[in-house]
Amino acid sequence: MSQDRDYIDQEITQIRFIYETLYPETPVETHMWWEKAKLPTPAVQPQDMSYGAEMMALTYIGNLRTGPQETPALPGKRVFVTIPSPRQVAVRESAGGVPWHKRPRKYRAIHALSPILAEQMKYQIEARRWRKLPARHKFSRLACSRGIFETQKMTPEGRHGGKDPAILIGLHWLDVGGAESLGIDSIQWALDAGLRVFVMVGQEGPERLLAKLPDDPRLQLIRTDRYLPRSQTSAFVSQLIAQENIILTHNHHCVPLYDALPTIKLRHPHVVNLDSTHIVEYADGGYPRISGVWSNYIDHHHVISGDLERFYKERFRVYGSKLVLGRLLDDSRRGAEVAPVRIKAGQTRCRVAFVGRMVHQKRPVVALSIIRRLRAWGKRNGVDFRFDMVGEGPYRGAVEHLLTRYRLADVVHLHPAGTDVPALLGDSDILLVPSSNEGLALVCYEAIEAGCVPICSEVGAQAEICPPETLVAWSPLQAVRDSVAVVQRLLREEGFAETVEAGQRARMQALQADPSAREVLDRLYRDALAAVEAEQQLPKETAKRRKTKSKAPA
Amino acid sequence: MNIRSSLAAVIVTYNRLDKLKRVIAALQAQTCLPERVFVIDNASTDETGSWLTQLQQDDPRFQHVRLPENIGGAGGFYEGARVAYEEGYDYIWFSDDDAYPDSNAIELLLTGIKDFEAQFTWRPSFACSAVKWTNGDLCEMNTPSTVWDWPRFYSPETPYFLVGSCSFVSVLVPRWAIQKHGFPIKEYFIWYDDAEYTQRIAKSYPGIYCPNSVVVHDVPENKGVNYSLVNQANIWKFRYGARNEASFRRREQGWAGVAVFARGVRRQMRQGNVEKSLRREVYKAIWRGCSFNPQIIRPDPDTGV
Repeated sequence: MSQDRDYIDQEITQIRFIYETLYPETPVETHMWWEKAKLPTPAVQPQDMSYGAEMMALTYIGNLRTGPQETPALPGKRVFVTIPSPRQVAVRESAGGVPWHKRPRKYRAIHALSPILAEQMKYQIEARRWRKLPARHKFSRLACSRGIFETQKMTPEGRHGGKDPAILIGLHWLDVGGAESLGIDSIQWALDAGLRVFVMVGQEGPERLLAKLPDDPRLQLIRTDRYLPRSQTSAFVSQLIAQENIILTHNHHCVPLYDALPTIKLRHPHVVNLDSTHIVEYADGGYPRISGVWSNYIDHHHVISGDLERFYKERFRVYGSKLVLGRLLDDSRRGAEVAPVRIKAGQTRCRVAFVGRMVHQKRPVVALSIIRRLRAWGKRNGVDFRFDMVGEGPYRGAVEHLLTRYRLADVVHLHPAGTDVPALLGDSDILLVPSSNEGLALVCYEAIEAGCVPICSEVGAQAEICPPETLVAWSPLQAVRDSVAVVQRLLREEGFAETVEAGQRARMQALQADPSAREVLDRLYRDALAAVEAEQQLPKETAKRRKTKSKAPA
Repeated sequence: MNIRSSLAAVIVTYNRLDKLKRVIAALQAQTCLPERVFVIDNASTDETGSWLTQLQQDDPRFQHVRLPENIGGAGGFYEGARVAYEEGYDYIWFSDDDAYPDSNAIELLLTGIKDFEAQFTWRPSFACSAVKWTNGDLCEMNTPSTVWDWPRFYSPETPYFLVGSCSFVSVLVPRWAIQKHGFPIKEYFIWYDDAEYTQRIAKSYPGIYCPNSVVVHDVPENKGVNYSLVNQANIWKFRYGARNEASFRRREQGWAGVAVFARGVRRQMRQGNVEKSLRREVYKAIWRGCSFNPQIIRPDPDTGV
């Protein structure tokens, strides 16, 4: 274990920070295990003199005492935590979903019979869930009495000891994803705005984004996902806000941080709460629904698409300055030249790409069915197709198997997740995006900029970037038929590619005219900072005035 | 400890920026300024949108609620009531974009409704202001209708009259009334939405008219709602009015109520010598109203606590 000494020390520092913050005046005895414990961890219990045999499991690595000495008048707490080894985290990294062989047998049987039929069944389940949404879950805001602003003047004063203002950013986890990517960007923007940044994570999982966190001494990652029981998160957040002078919270799909909102409102009503959401999910609305339910506790909802804007307005009546639209646009690419559409009617070679994680949401199996039909059509009509599929995930095995089954291995080239996507799109004519759910797929921006035509299923806010001619049905069977028809029109119909290009350009321009996420979030951060600075200035000025008044008679 | 009550205002506007500016100025001068003023912009096509966006930045108490399309005054009040209700306000003040409240108008309504409840135990379902025309006369179209025992609680110290309905020009509605009776009907589009709504909530207990709370309604003419005034220019409004009132009467009073209403309309049109073709239009609207039964949307009970 000696090679892990530094790692363990680093984790102990994390544990110490969490429990010293949570229980600053309470004796805490923390017991730690390596990789695995016989007790449920993390857990907090009242201190007691007895120890069970499970404490002595061979993975036990020691204990840590923090806070004052325990006395009968001052009973302490006992904390149990398990420190995961880097190897464990790495294994999590490679998992990335339910392995193919662990999927339900019925599903695998139908998939063996006809993969597209299995996809169609999944779609029907999703569509049913979507129709049943209002019956399954509440779509109304939780009440939040305004009385708290009057009665709760109990913000702990002077606890933070004059520390610089800080922001608490909550992430769902540290794996790759749109929300997490924006979360990492917003950490950098907060640092740029002059805030100290605390990051908490809602859930353990793969940690592929850990290395992407900015290397800045003002940033601190708090491993609440590893070392703090969910039931203690609200209390911890409250203590952290008081201790670290947190003036702002920004939630990127972090459920424990949503759960802490009543505590934040009650104990620290001055804190500005904002969240960012990306995609309305079919299962139950997903994070936008959760965020809408908490809306009375949130000061600003940041959304990335007009589709989400409509969702908040129609479902939760969120309007005015509370709802801010900030597109996921790279400001440096704003106004960049959009390459002309490459595909032309009559061409005999065509390159088609699919870029996305190999998970159900991106529907690689549907993409493969489209590829299969295009290949068959191309053979009959003298069009030489080449296909590229980029991505990794639990469906990768199934895709590889289907490539052999459909005898497509010679024309479909599989690429790993780290492939240079802009370069690939720069060589491709068409991008297939037959997703079952999307917010506003970033890869579509990249494709249009590179002169490639994205053909997308009409879900989420995809209609904001793709013209109607290139949108296909959500249903897999229909999506396959529609996608093939669009490719055929692009290759045969004179002027169709130009119409599509005009539609794409108009949409890109409209999107670029909207503010970017960086612009709106940066403004919100700076406004909160300015408000605090103005508040701090006010007492100083009043004190000055008092001094001058008291001097005047003398 | 005082039980604190929160107050929001809802103003519905459409392409009347000059008047709206005066309304906003009058609100800013209130002795009791609502914590939030939701200005429901019915997809105005003039400068209203940009002006309100700027106002929202300068003074966050004023919130710009931009609707995707013009859904009429009724739709605007429905949306406004929902927004303010969802945000948890205890009292919601409704008014038009051409009604200028005196500086203490809202305060008098708020103290009136609370005072009435404290003094007489009964809980008024709304409190409305005295609406004047620009020359100081009573504004005829906004005259509330009284109940039979309207002066029951009147005294110089408690200057309140009981009323059964009023217009959405300076009316204060408590949260409990919305929770119990639902939101205004958006499908009414324009006209009679206010009368229907206040009559609906007054089923719990009548509202109160507070004559000291004064609002000036800046309408071009001081005329009441009378079917003798139907002409080519205003028939579109009367169509909505006739349909909506017939729908309300059918729901609340049955066919007999519709018959009484139709007879009254007929008499007024005959007195006003209204063109035959226009009369037919109004009768058609009444007929449509008999089968027009829009759903009353009620708030989720969970947000009511």
